[in-house]
Amino acid sequence: MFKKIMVPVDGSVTSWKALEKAKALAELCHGDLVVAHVVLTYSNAELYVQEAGGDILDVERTTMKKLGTHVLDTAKSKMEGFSGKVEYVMEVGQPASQILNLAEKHEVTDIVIGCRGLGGIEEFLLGSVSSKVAQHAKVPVLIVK
Amino acid sequence: MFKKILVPVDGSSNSWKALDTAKGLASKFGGELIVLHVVQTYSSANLYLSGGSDISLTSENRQLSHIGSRVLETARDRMSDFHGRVRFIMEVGHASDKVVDVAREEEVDSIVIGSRGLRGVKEFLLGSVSSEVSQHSPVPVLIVKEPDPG
Repeated sequence: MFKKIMVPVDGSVTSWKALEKAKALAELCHGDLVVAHVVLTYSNAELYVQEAGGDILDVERTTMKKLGTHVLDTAKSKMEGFSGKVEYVMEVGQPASQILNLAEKHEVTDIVIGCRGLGGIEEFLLGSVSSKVAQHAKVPVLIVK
Repeated sequence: MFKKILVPVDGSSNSWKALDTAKGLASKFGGELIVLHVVQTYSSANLYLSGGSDISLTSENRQLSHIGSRVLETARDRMSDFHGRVRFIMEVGHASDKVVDVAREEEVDSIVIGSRGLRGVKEFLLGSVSSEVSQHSPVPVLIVKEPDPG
């Protein structure tokens, strides 16, 4: 356990807490980390509803990716001093399903995730990303408060 | 972390897996364990709806407490090779509420719980005890997964 931990980060306070916890556990267990950020972009269907043009979609996507890069840069600075191996990955799509895909692809032994991210009201109504991940992951999930 | 772990067990295979995981973590991190079984009794309101009598309620609840003792005995057996400190607690009430209450009272630093307990379809519809616990717990919750059926 804790040999290869995946930590999804979205830039929220709880996601940084999850990263700290995962870093400490990986140190104790001589494990590696996979830090993942999922970029949520608008879909063509949403665009259709909003009657916007394709250009706006591209601009939006570029901005979100830029933000994502910034989140991962922050993660990198927080991981300074860590002695194990760390991979940083960025994916585009639905957070919960992308996290589950990445966990399988990277064959992680566990997932450490913050209980509440940046989803706010939507999370409150539809269930949080962390509970979706905990329900469907094939590996143990540590939910950090 | 994992210095004082709470593990709720309901007798399901998933809860035994959680107990094994918690035992491993407590051994590794030099922690102590609190094994909790929550007896979900029938309330007077349930009884009113089902048209039963007070007598059947009492005997039903006695039966459930008896099952609870058996669950904790099994837990004790499974913990026999654990060298750290361990306590076994039985509580009566609503499962996820009690788990969170005990976590606060005992000031544990983590909870290790099976992703799915004995409630089956009801869990599917209403959300699992583990997700209720992870939402309301004051401390980190490790959700242990069901062994792959295949």
